[in-house]
Amino acid sequence: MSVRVRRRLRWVRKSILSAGIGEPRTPAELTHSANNVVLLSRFYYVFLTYLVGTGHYPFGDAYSGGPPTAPLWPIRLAEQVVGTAWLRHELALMAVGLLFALGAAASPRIFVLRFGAFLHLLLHVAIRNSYGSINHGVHVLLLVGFALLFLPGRRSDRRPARNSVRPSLVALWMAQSVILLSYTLSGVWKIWYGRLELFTSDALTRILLDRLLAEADEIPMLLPFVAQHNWLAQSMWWMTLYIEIFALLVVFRPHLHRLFGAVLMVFHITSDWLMNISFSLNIVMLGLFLLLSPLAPDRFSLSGTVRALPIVGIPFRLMKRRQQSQQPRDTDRVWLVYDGECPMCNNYAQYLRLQQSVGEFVLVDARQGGPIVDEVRGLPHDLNDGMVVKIGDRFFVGHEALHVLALLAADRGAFSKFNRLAFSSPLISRFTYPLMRGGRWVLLKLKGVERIR
Amino acid sequence: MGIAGRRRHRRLWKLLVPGFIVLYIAMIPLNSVLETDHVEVFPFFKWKLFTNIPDWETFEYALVIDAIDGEPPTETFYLIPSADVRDWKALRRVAIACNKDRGCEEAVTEVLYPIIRRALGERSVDFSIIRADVDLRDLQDNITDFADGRLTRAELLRPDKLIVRWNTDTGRIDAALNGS
Repeated sequence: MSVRVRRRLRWVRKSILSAGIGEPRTPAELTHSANNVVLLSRFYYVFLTYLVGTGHYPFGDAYSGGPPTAPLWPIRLAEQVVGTAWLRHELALMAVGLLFALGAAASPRIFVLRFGAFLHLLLHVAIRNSYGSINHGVHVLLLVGFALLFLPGRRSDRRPARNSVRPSLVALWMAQSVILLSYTLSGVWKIWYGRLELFTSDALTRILLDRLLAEADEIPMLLPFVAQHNWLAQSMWWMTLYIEIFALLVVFRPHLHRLFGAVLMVFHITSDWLMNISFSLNIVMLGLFLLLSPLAPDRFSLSGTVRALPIVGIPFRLMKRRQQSQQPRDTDRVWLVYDGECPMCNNYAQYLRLQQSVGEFVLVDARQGGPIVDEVRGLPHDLNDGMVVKIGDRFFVGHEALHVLALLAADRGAFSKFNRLAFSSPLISRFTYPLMRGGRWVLLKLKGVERIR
Repeated sequence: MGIAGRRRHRRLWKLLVPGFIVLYIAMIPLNSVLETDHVEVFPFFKWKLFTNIPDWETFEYALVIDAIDGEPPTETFYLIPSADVRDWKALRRVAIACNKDRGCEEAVTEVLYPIIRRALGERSVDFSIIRADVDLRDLQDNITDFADGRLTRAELLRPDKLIVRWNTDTGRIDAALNGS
């Protein structure tokens, strides 16, 4: 695999694993998300149990009903292998389906149970689309079932949690991808076939009226009203195209998981009210794998969501980037926590010229307090034992701080040059620092200043 | 599993999602090559929903019942368009097959006969497949009447072309492929 492809794959993985812009997830968060994937799969199989158990789509009815056209390949294969008699054993088929679905709900880590449930569903969906029947509303349920086959199984080694994180998340991405791909394909076809018609102001009105002719015996609730108001129909049309076309992109933008999940659910409910097209199973899948997405940020962030929106979010992302570039990064900022009452420390701090060599040099008097001092107090280090330097997330105390400051010092000015020359050696820093600390103690005694509390 | 096995396993996981998406997209053009009876190879459904944006002046295919047991109905009787969109789609398929004279007889007997028998029972039925013009503006202007049932579909459809006439017992009566 070329280096470029590898880099691209790494970028894709990083973008999925980060909660948003520049917020990488911790291993603990990823493990938590992976556990939630298993929980979601339980819900999926519980829902499947409900569908099979309540006989929502009985095999026998599907077999005998509708105008006869050729069956789909799973049914044709089953016909060739075991004939068609098995299709009439409704109760036995239901019992087998229930057994696998219930089993998978109870133990989603056992592959055989998931596979059995998937196979039962495959035959069921195939028959719902054979012999003249059409039911595309079950496809997504089936594809998600396929994705869940890749959930990790039980491991016998001692690191089960760590080993199962990546496969669990892969199964989740696959489920989310197949759900969202269906919408993206739907949007792309509309553009492909609609072309210039898409830019007319009455495209949806005409589709609705044409649909009304086919639905005359059961007119959808909202259709008459929307078909009379072109502006409303057209707004809905544009909104539909936007969410459908960019749906697949949402997999890579966890900030949008919940929003798109909710919007697509509303889209299906509206389609039902407008066209009597009910993709009720899609609503459940969207709810499980997007609205309850384990990768979505814990807290809803309006700004993060707006920035993550395709096209619309571009100016907001640019603004954010500009804002970030103007602020010094944490790694460019150096804090020096020192004793402001100690004349030697004070002079040392003031003479240091770090501004030219680092982004921002911040002097913090330990006696004044503040968030950085609070952070230092959390360390196993007494401020009376020496100064502290903080760079990014790292702390350097005592002789280490002295050494680091010498390395960061500019190579201009007599003091800086001496500082660099003397303390750039860790050995000299280590042996000199106790002397400096002793000097500070003497000076504080002479001044009559108390130790830092 | 050994170290090499684990590495291979990890590589497989990495390729799984992009691989499946690529396969799904690749199946779109391959569908028509691999499958003849259906539009797509199951379960790689194309999701080509509502891609047809009709003109204001459009047309519909209709199944007109001309006579039941030799007796003509009292008023124009369209069995399809019906409430069942499946029947409507099935008729569309048969009408296109008959219009292009490609497997018309097979399509009528296998697809339309069961629909007619389901609706009218085992009787001798004369029926026609027609193409009718519709002006969607008429429907938009009278949408409240249509919703209330004061305006019927039959009043909106203006028969334009007879595609084929048939009898469920005797078979094809005549064909007027070039319109009537």
